[in-house]
Amino acid sequence: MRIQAHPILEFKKKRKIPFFFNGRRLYGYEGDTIAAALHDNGINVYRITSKGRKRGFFCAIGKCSSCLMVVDDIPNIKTCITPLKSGMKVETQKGKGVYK
Amino acid sequence: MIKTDVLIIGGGPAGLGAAIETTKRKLKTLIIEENPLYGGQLIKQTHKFFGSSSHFAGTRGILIHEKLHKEIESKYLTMKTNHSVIAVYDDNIIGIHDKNKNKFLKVDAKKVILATGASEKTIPFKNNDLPGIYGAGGVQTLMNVNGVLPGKKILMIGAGNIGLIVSYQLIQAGAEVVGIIEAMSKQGGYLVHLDKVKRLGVPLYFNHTIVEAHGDDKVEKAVIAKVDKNWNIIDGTQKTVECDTICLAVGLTPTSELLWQAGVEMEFNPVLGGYIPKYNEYMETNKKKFFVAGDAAGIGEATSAIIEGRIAGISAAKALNAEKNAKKFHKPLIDYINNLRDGSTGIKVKKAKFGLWGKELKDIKEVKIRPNQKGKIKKDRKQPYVVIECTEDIPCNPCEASCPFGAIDIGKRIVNIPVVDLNKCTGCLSCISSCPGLAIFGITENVQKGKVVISIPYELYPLPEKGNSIWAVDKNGQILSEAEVYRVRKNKNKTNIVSIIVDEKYKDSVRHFYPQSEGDVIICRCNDITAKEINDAIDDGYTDFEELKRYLRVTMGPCQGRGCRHLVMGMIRAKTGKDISKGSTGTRRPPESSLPFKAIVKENKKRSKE
Ligand SMILES: Cc1cc2nc3c(=O)[nH]c(=O)nc-3n(C[C@H](O)[C@H](O)[C@H](O)COP(=O)(O)OP(=O)(O)OC[C@H]3O[C@@H](n4cnc5c(N)ncnc54)[C@H](O)[C@@H]3O)c2cc1C
Ligand code: SF4
Ligand code: SF4
Repeated sequence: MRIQAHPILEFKKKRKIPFFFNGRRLYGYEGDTIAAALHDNGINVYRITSKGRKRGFFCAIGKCSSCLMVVDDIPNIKTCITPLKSGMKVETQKGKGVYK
Repeated sequence: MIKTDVLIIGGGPAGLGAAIETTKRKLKTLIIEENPLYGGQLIKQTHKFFGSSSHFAGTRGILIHEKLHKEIESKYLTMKTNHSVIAVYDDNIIGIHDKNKNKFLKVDAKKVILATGASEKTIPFKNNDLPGIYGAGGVQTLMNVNGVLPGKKILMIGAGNIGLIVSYQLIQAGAEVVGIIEAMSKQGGYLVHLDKVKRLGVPLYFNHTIVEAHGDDKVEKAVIAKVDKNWNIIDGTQKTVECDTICLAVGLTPTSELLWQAGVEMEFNPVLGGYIPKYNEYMETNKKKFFVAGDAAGIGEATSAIIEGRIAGISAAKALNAEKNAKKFHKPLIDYINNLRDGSTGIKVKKAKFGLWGKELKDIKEVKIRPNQKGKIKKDRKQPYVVIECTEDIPCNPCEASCPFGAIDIGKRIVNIPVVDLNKCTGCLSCISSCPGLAIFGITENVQKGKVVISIPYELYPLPEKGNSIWAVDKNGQILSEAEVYRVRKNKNKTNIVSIIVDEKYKDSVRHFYPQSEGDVIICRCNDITAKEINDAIDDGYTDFEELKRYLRVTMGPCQGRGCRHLVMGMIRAKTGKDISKGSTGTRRPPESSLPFKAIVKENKKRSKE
């Protein structure tokens, strides 16, 4: 959910960029982190742990391990502090993640 | 290998403060900041800061880091963002990950200042890892930096300053806070912050905790329960709260891992948030090369982090022989922070810090709790005066500095209670928007018989307009009456002042208002016509029922005006005073109730056959 109007902040309109989530084409905005763009698209589950527990994101400053995902085939990327780039391939991480 | 005089780890307020002092003394300074943006916690803090007006109090956090950056001598500064310090090796070489190029760099620095801040704590409860559960600071980043809301219905755990501030900011961003849960019997944060959310009607659950979160892909509800004095759950008090987001504001702990690696002596200090390095009042650790500042040295505020950073910067310069007269520069800074911590909240931190420094803390004179007002209000006074509702000994003074007439007094000790002298107050209302606690209100008597105007600091969206109908609300968020906006004053700092006019009897109780969304009041259900559209049309001169009907098509839907005719007539009468029994009320035409065209067509066909 993007904030549309705010009494203190001005969110400038930014360029829309496409990316892929589990093969699905989605859009985010330039300057988004991967996690923020996913959130805006209503996606909350970022990884599934070895014990089968679903995880979203928690700290937003790269200090916990909640939001690790596979990004452009590299596992364990902290999506909360990694900027979104056009055409990025973002995938739900299963377990500890494997290098492809 | 990169060589530098001073390496500063972390580009938050502490790191920036340190760089101001080292670059001023012509030391080659390198700041390494993990985030793509520098500023640390400041970049998400949309609220005005407490502290001294001489040190950014009254300024919104989001504006402070740029101001600090401007104070740094850019000639001597290299700032690398999106770079993480990942190691301090035995030979004191620092390892860095350049995340832009995915490269590993090594830095050889003569002195290192650690300003890595803190990370959020979590608490154990069932399913506490469910998506939709966040740290409060995480939510603040998501909404205030990325412009994305985590959900619509938020449950906040913790009524410290962070829990209270983030709740308020969630509401500013358009979310609903369904409750604030606090295990203690009162808030841990400042009363003025609590008052802000109370006025907005947020339910508060003291002596409560969260027991369980429910949901599949995301939080759908939470179970909360009452706790006893020892924080044990009282069985039978469990209850379910519907929410889609749970926010944990249960404290911070210093990020001190790199200091452990550096071999700095560490100690556990619960008041300061966990494991902290041992250091003295000059922010020097037992390892000559390493200095520490800000939240990494014990959880504090941004105001003190900046100052501690500056103290550390001066100390590093002294150690590098770039400052001969460190004492002179240290003293006012040290005195300033010590004064900030003189109130009943700060004193615990002050004691902990003095303990750490091995210094004796002399008895601190308790702050006298005094009334916020002195002087007399003349009976026929026409100009406004202000009421201050700030009764705690918090380190804050922008109100005093903002009054052009010297009517507000805090005095030498910044933790003193503010007092407005009504004999000196001219009613200019400047102080209202300066106050970070939104604790100052204006009162104007003798404007209309039986009425008073109450001027309220307002930071929500949208800003109402003069003449709008609103609900007048008391300190607990309860609606007391309907009222009208009397005046709106926009301010550059975005704390606008909305003055509303209410019955005299509400002078001491009304402190807020809720907008009445006129657009939501549907008058004509068939054609979706709102009260606002009708009122606007009447204002535009459509004061005759027939005209209004043709203009808006009100009363012309399938119900044939049965639902709305009387309402529209009433609205015309209310606005124009016209005797509506005289004018036209429209012609009643068939069909009296709706029927399919097919039915009529069939009948016609039959007739034409015949
Ligand atoms: C919700 C909230 C409200 C607050 N309100 C107020 C207020 O009203 N007034 C007030 O004075 N204070 C307030 N504070 C407190 C204040 O924000 C902090 O005390 C202050 O930011 C601490 O400054 P710092 O520089 O020590 O740490 P931070 O601001 O946390 O900065 C630390 C920086 O170091 C970086 N870093 C960490 N580790 C590494 C590494 N290994 N390599 C590179 N970089 C690294 C981080 O990315 C970060 O940018 C509030 C805090 C919160 C969370
Ligand atoms: S209303 Fe004006 S004169 Fe009165 S206390 Fe506030 S700033 Fe001072
Ligand atoms: S009234 Fe004065 S001291 Fe109290 S919060 Fe407002 S500005 Fe600070």
